[in-house]
Amino acid sequence: MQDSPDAARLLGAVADTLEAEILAATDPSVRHEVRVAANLCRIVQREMALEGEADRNAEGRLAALLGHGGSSRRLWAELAGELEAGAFADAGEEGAVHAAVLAIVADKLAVAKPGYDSYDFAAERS
Amino acid sequence: MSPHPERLAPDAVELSAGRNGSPSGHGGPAGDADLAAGVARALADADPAAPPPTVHVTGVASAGATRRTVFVDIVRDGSTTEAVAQLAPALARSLSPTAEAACVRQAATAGVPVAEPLVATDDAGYVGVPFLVSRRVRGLTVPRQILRAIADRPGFGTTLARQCGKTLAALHGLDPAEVPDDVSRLVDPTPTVAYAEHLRLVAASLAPSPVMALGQRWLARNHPEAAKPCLVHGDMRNGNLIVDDDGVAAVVDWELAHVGDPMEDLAWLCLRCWRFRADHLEVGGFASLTELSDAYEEAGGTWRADAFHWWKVARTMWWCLVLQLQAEAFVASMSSSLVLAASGRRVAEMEYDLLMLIRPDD
Repeated sequence: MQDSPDAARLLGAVADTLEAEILAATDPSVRHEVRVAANLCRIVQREMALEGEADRNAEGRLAALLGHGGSSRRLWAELAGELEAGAFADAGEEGAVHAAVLAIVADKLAVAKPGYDSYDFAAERS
Repeated sequence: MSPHPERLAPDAVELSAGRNGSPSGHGGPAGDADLAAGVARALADADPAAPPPTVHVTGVASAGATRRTVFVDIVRDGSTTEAVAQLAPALARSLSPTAEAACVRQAATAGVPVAEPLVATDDAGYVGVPFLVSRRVRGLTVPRQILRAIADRPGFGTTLARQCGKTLAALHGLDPAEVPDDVSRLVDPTPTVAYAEHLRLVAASLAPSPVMALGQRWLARNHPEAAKPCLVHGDMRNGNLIVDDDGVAAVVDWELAHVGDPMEDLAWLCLRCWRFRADHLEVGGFASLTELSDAYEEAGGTWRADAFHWWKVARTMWWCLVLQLQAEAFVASMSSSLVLAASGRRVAEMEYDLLMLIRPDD
């Protein structure tokens, strides 16, 4: 148990400070690093809020494809191995894998870069 | 076989560090005097008949992990030439500076706007590393500044996209037989087959990923018919262009040049990651694709839509792998760079782009 403010608030405060006072006082040669640092604070902040549910969702999606449970990381690697070995060969099966993998990636983007998946590539599909 | 594997990670390191800073006004920590003297010696050796020049380091353009780029003034006979010195440690094993200079000069003969090479040496004896000195071309290089200039000037984005098409058609029209022997050939048995195999090897060195596996399946199923190989720049995109009021003043950073499929260049230029949020303007955030493809064909190029899409998928996958390699370098404590650490959280962006490019029809 820790006293207030909580971890998320602290990370937000670090990011705010980096982006305001520190960025303004920073040599141009390292401003990029300061921006990256602030962004990483915000990513970790979102990760703390979202990762539990996203991980459970990923486990569910992968378990449905593979027919058994396990940690999301293990199932992810297993699915890759199955694909490399030629499994999920017909279009319907591969489509289901694509949809599940895309949903997992979308959950990662909700942490790493919210809004990135709003662009739908409609004009640039083969 | 492939020009890429050995420099995959180092180049990526430099890209992520951002090479487009403005001169900082103080030329780096130490060694500027030695650097200036070494460059002056190389210039004197390259042209013994001319009076020996003096050289001053005037600023640091960027300090990437593989290539340090420094602004220098070359003073000869009382006149000053503004130049840029790119210092490449042998460790990076990129195209050697002399081979790079040869590619740049050959491209210039076709009308490609370049920064004229002034002296190149593969000899580390002058300044400790091989280097290339080119005439400095004034203009914007930072992608977001270029996109702001486009926003301020209606039609300017179209101009840039069309110039890119014309420039690439000119480059790709060169006779590949005249490309120096030490420039790699990505052609055996075809450029796409060779590149897919290269991606497979890189992916195999990383944690298994269903996204990469789906990408590899798509690539294997969709190889386009091969075209005649040509000299390709290998890294022409928003970020490696110098842009002035008239448009593209120079295409820079030729260290990934190789002989391969012309559509590789066009696809790379059009990846989403080089649009800097102007996602709907496919050509580097400049303009829509027809501006590029029309200009390419009007200048004598052959647009192959299937190969263009294949290379977009392949190069998106490559960039996704590079981000993973960067993150690996951080995790393995080969680098303490925060930017490399952050690359691990950018992998999802390229995974998303890849999955959308190969999405099956609903």
